[in-house]
Amino acid sequence: MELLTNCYQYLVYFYACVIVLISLTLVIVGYLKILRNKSKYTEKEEYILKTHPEIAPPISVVAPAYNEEVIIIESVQSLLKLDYPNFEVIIVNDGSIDNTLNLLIDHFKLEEIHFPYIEKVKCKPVERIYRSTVAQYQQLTVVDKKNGGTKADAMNAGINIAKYDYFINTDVDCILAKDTLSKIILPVLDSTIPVIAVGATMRMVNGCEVKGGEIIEVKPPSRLIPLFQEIEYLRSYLLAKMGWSAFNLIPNVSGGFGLFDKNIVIEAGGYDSHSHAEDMDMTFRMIAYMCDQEKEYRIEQIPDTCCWTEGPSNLKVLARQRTRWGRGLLQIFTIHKGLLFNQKYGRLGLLIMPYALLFEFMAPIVEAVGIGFLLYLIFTNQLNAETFWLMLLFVYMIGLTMSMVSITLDIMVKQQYRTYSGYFKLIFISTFEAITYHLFIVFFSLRGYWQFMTKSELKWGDMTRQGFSKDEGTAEDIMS
Amino acid sequence: MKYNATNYIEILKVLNLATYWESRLKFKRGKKSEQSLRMLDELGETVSGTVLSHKLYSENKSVRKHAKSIFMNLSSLDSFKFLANDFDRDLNAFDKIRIHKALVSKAKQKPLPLLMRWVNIASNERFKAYLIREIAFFKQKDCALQLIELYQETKSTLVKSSIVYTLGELEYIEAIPILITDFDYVSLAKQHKIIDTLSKLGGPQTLLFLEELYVKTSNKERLVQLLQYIYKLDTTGCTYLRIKAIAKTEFELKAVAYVEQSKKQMD
Repeated sequence: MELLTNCYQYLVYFYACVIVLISLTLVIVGYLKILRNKSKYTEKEEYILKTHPEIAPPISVVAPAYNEEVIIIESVQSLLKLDYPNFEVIIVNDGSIDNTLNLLIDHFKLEEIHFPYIEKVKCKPVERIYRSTVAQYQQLTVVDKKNGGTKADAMNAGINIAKYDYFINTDVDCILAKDTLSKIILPVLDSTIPVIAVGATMRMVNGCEVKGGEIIEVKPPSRLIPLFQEIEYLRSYLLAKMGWSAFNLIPNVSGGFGLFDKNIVIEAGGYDSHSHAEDMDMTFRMIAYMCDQEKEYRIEQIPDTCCWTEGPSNLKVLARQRTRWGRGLLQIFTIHKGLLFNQKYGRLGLLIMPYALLFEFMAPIVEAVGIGFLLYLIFTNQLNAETFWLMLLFVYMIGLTMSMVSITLDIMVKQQYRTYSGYFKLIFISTFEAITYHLFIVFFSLRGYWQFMTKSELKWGDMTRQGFSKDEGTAEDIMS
Repeated sequence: MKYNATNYIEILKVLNLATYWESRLKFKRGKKSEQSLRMLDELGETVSGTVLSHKLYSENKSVRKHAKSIFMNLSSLDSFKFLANDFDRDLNAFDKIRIHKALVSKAKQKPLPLLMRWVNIASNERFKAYLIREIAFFKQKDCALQLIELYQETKSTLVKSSIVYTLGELEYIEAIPILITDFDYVSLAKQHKIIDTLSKLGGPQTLLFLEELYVKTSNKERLVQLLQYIYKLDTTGCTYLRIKAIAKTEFELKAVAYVEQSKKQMD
C-alpha cells in the first residue's frame, strides 16, 4: 500500500509539474504572439480590405437555428450588418417547430427559389431554400431542412449551399463584432502556408447591453455561472489557444465561432452528426486529411473578441453542456484512436492528441482520484498538514495567476469593459473558481465519461430565450 | 485654425510629422517600425520614398514587405523596382493586396506601365500569376497577345489559370479557339475557369461548345453553370430551348427553373 501511495504521489507531482511548465510556456508564447499580432494587424490593414472589395476574399457566414423565434430577427439583422465587402449569410432552419421560419419569411420578405441543391456533405433532406426579394437583404439565404437533431447536421446543409471558399461556423445565439470578418481573414491572407481554420476569442453576451443585434456596451455577466465562464473562456482563448497557435498545435476551433476552409471541410467529410464534440472532431479530421495528402497547413487563432455567446446562466444548463462536452471528448478518443501516437499524423498524433488525452481527458479523473486520496489520508491520519497546505496554496496560486494573466492579456488586446471595475469583478470571482465552479466542472466531465461508457441516451437541451436586448436577469434557461 | 484640404499639407510640414515618423522608423523593434510605416504611408506625398531605404532589406520579413509596398507608393524615382525582383521571397496573399493597393494608387496618378513587362521576367510562378490577374484588373488589353503566347508556352497550371481568367476579363475573343482546343486536356478546376472565361467572351462558337459540353457533362455543379451561361449568351433563345426540352431529371428541371427565376429577379 505504501509503495502504491508513493507511486501515486510521485505521479501526481510530475503530472502537476508538467502542467505548470506547459502553462508557463503558453503564457510566454501566447503573450509574444499577441504582441506580434497587434503590431501586424491594425485597423489600417482591415481598412485596405474593406476599401478594395475586388480582392477581399468572399466569406459565407453559416448559422443554424432551431426554435429561435425570440432572437432570430435580431440575430440575422446583426449578421447582415457585418462590416465587410464580400459576404453572404446562410441561416439553416433545422426543422424548428416554433415560428422561426415564418418570422424570417415575413421580416426579410423571403421567396422560395428553385435552388438546384447538391449534397456535398451528408445531412437530413433540405426542403426549401429562400432568398429575399428586397435588395437590402440580398446576401441572405435561408435553408429550411428536416430536423437532424444536431448542429453538425444543420452546418452540413449550410456548407452545401455556401458559395464561397471560406465559411464562418457560428450560432444564431451569438453576436459577432462588426469587424469580425476583416479580422479573421487576415491570418489566412498573411501566410504562405494554407490556413485551414482560424479561431477567435469568444465571451459571454450575458450582461452586455445589446440593441438591434449590436453590442452597445460590454459588461461582465451579473450571474455567477456566466462570470466563471467568462474567465474560463479568456483563459482558454487568450492563454491556451494563442500559445498553442504559435506552435501550430491548436486542438480545436470552437463550434461557436470559427473560420474554415470549405473545400478542406468537404474533403474531410463535413461535420459528424453523431459527434457530441463536432468542433474538435472536425478539426481533427481536417488535420488528418491534410496529413494524408502530405500537405502543409496552419490553424490560427486571433486574440480579438469576435463573438459574444449566451452562456448557461444556471447550474442545470451548465451541467448538461459540460456533460455533453465530457461525452464528446471520450467519443473523440474512441473514434480517432488510430491517430493517437501515429507518426503519420505528425503533430496531431504525437502532440495534440497525447496532450488532450493526458491533460484534458485525464485531468478530471486525476483530480477526482486526488480528492478521494486526500480523504483517505485524512481518515487514516496520514496527512502531512504543513505540506498539504503549502501544495494546495501553490496550486491555487498557479490557477489564480493564470486567470489574472488572461485578464491582463484581454486588456492588452482591447479593453472591452468601459471601466476597470468589471475586470476587478472578474479577478475577485476568479479567487473562488477553484473551490466552487471548477469542482462542478470536474463532476460534470466525469458524468459525461460515465454516460458515454454506459451508452446512456443523450438528451439535447433547449434554451428558452428572452432575446439579446432583454435584461439578462429575466432570461430563464429551461431544460427540455 | 481648422485644418482642411488646402492647408493640410502645410500643417503636416509645420508640425514636422514626417521627420518624427522617419526617426521612429530607425528603431529596430518590429512594432515601432510597422507603426511608423503605417504613419508614413498615411502622410503620403509629403514623405520621400528614400526614407524607407534601410527597411527595404530588413531581416524582419513583415517590416521588409510592408516597406516595399509603401515604397511603390511613395517613390518618385523607380516605384516598380521590386516588381522586377518577384517583390519578395516570402510573398503571400496579403502582400498581393498591399501591392494592389499601391498599383491602384499609382494608376490614379498616371497610367500604369504594362505589367506584362514584369510577368516576362518573374521567376516566382505565384507572383507571375498574380501580376497576370492585375493585368485583368487594370484592363491592359495590349498584353492579351503576349498572354496567349505565354499560355501556349508555360507548363505552370497556376499561370495558365490566371491567363484564362485575364483573357476573359480583357474580352479577348481571339482566345476562344485556343481555349476550346485545350479544354479536354486540363484539370477540372481549369476547365471551370475556361467555361467562366468563354461565358465572358461569348459568340456562336462558344455557344455551340457550351451546348455540346452540357449534353456530355454529368457533374451537377457544372450543369448549372453551363445552363446559366447558355441562357445568358443565347440571344435568340434557340439553344436554351433545345436544352430545356431535353431536361428530364428532377435536378435538371430544378436547374432550369432556377436559372429562369434568377434572370427574372435580376430583371
